[in-house]
Amino acid sequence: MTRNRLLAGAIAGVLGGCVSGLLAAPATGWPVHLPMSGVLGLLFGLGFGARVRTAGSGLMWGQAYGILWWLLGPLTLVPLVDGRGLQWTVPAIQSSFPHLLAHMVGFGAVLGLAMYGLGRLLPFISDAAKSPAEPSVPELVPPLVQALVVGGVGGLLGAWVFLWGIETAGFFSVVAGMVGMGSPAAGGLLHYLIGLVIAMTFALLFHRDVGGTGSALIWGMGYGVLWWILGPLTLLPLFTDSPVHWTVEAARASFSSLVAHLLYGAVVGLVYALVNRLWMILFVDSDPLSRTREGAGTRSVRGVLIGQAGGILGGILFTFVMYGVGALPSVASLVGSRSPLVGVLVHFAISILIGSSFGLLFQRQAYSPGAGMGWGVSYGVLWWLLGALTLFPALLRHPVDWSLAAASASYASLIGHLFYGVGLGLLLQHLVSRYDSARQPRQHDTGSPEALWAGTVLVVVILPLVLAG
Amino acid sequence: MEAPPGGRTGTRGAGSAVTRRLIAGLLIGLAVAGLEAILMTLGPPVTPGGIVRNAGGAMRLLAAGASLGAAYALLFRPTPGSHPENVMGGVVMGVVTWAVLALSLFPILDTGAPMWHVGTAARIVPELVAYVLHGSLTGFLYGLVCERLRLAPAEMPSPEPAAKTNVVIVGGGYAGVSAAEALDKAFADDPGVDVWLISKTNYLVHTPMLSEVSSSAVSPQHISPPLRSFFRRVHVVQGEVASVDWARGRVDLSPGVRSPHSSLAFDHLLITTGCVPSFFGNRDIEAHTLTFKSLQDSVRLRNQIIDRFERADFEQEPATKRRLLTFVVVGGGFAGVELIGGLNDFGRGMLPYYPNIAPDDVRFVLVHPRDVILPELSESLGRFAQEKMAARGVEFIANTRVTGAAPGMILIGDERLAADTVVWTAGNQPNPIVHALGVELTRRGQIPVSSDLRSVENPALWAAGDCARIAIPDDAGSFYPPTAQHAFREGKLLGRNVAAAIRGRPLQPFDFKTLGSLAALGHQLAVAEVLGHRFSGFLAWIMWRAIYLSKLPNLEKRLRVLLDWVLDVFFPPDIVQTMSFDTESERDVQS
Repeated sequence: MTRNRLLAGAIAGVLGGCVSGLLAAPATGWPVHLPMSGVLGLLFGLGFGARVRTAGSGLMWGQAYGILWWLLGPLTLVPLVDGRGLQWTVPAIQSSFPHLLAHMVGFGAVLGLAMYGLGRLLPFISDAAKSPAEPSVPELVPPLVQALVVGGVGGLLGAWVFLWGIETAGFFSVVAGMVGMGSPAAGGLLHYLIGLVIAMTFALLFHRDVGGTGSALIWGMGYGVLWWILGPLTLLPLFTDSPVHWTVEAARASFSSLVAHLLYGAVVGLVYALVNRLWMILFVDSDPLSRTREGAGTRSVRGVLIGQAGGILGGILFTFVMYGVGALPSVASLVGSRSPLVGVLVHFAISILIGSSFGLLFQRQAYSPGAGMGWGVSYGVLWWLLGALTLFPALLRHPVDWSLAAASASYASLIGHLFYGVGLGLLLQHLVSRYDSARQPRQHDTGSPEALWAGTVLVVVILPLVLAG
Repeated sequence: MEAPPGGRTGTRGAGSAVTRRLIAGLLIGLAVAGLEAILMTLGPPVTPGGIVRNAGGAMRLLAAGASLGAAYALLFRPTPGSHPENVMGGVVMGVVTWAVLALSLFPILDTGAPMWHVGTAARIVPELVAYVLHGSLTGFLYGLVCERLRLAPAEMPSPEPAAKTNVVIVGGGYAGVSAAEALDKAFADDPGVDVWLISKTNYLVHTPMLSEVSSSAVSPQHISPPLRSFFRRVHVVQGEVASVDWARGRVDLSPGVRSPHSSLAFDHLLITTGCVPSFFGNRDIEAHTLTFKSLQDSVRLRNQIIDRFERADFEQEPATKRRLLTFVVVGGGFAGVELIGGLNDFGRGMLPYYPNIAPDDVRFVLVHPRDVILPELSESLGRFAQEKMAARGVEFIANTRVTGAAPGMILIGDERLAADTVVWTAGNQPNPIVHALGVELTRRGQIPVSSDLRSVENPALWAAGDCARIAIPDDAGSFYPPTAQHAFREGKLLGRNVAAAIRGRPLQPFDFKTLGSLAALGHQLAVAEVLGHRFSGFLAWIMWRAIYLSKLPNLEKRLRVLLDWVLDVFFPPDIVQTMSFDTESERDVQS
């Protein structure tokens, strides 16, 4: 089986190398690039191949593997070999930015998908077809129908949220240009149509990976990053007869679109999992033949209470950042005050509220302290996008601004949200395990989300620094 | 009598495994930091001044590496073959460590200000890359080392110990259940200790709300969560104890008990059997009055009241009708007062359904041997209660004792009162099962225990709740009263102390100051004395409901009772009779 995985990995690696090389000229030249891609694919098959049990997991593990190799290859080993030293500074990273995208999408995503596809097409080459993952969210109806209906609803909602921080008139004209039209109305229609289709593909790709409502949010965000690279940075220029520019400048210009894609993905994931969860509660879990020891009601209330405790700890950690950057008066302005003390109170009220939602959504997915932290920081990142960049200005009746400048100005808040997520996730996991050590969540119940956390958190943390630098 | 310490090696083993993993993580973090330092010296400095261009920078790098490795070991559980997860988990760990150390702690130590703004944070992007790569390599190596050194059995069940310690709790009331809960928690992961709870019923009844059941305000199931819902490891046995064999260390169960065992071995025997009604030796009263201690009593009383209304509605003979509609509660303590208040509301609320019964036909009578009811509270509150309840139609017969009873009547002093329904709440005594223990009891039949709730006579015997006599510290000659709030707290400490005894740790004394007492008097009316402050009327009623609702030991039950109360506001009382009464007692009365 290992030999088969190695072979599948090598083939998929060469395929990924071809795609990434076509999208961004290989720094090492084709004669080195392609064999290297084959070797990297082989290593992926060896180390990560067993994780490629679905197309979605292949995609996420491939992307995260791509990012890791971008850090290890073009930024570290290659320059060390050719005597340039470590290329870890912002200017060096900026010049290697096209390779980041190439490693993520051109190489990593193609590698993961190809690995899965090879396993399905040629069962003797991989074990993906022999041991398909059980769906984490039980399939209510055939996946295609589920994807069309539930994914479609999520897509429409997500496409609406997508527009919150985007200047719609100009954006719709650009989108309409993809099909040779200039009307904003046509652009708007096309935007919703694209949102619908992408959400359907999410449902099809990830329906066996999302382990619960909370994790679906983050899976959606991960998928959103992919579509930011595929959409505005790749397909949009291709459809509008412009060259594909995977440059820092292009990424800077479409940073607001990155935020929009992340939030879009989160909404798609949330709606998809929420509808499933609700269906399960109403029609499956409520069946006396499949009742558990605790009902959804008891579990949910306990999740909210535990989440509130986590929210308080996370809020305390976040307060250090708030105090350090003098943000408390602006938080107080949400209730019409400028007092730092009021700011602290408002901040804790929000922390507890968000903590409650975290407890409700993630209590069954924190299978270890590390997992609690992983989900916590991912949720923190989501709330930086949704809270600091979106709801906070909206509540103050300021225009929602997702530009790089706004994100950069709010970078300290991102760090605060990371601290918040760490405290929130760790305490939640501790309390959940303390409540019932025998029944705490297990890793196999939640898939393998480590690649998801790594990819999503790293991209959101590093991009503002690199693009603004 | 206590189990050998070998039964609990699992806990220590787990602790040392964590320490070994922590050391492994720390060493790996240091090694990766060393490798990183060498890498950095191969090329130009990554930041102005360089991370490792001076001794301070090198030390900091090593400290950061060690911290990252140790934190990783603490937070991530190694499972065999999970190298991909370890690598990616390390990436997340790297980002978090960068935010904590490189962005926050180190700059604060250096300059007094963190680097949280994008302009300053961008200057240490090289450190971010370093931490991420460091984390991923640490994760990978850590998983590898744990696998090789077999430090990854986190998900393996602990082996069954050779000898088990058995704890048997007799009695499923507040004290018993809270003791069992404490033990369940203490030994959640220790298969070396087995806990058994023997209870007559398979539920815990929330006794302060029994009168709510009798008055049809809440459903009986809603105030009685099943015992099995409390525990994960405690074995619940529905039955009663017949005898205790101290020589063999076994309790023999009564015939018909719902257990595969006829007896249970014990190392620690916890008695929490509570109280039963005391009739002071008067067999007539015992034979012809109803008791009010259990859920069955409460349900039966509710049904009997509805039954008597049904009969009285068509009764032509005035004396019989009067007897059927006279409801007497004997005893003006909390139980009696709350019961008569609830019954009065229930009975009078039913009248619209019974057109042949006039309000004056119905009597609710409370007989009390003193001048003022509720002797547990201040006299002013007792008088307030008496006045308010009298205004709502409750009759009080004060300064009088019930001296006898016969079918359809009771003797109050020398007076006969014809009443078909008489409820006895005038006295309690410890459950007679304590006599089977073979230990010396107090004059009232309680088990004397020291302040740590262990028998002074037998170290394997423990007791709490109404059946135990526990002295109040610094108050010679006084003992804790038999109330639910005391029983609950005594039981909790009992469980902790038994766990401490099994683990060879010191025991804690019971020391609790009574928080207060509350009594519901009827519709939106109550009296309360909390922390020395007196409350009465609507506010006290709100307090009563809020406190006892919060004390219901199960969220689901709390919601159900809350819903019952809300519905009670909008709909008439439920008069469905779920229990039929044979006519035997009726014939007795007529004869």
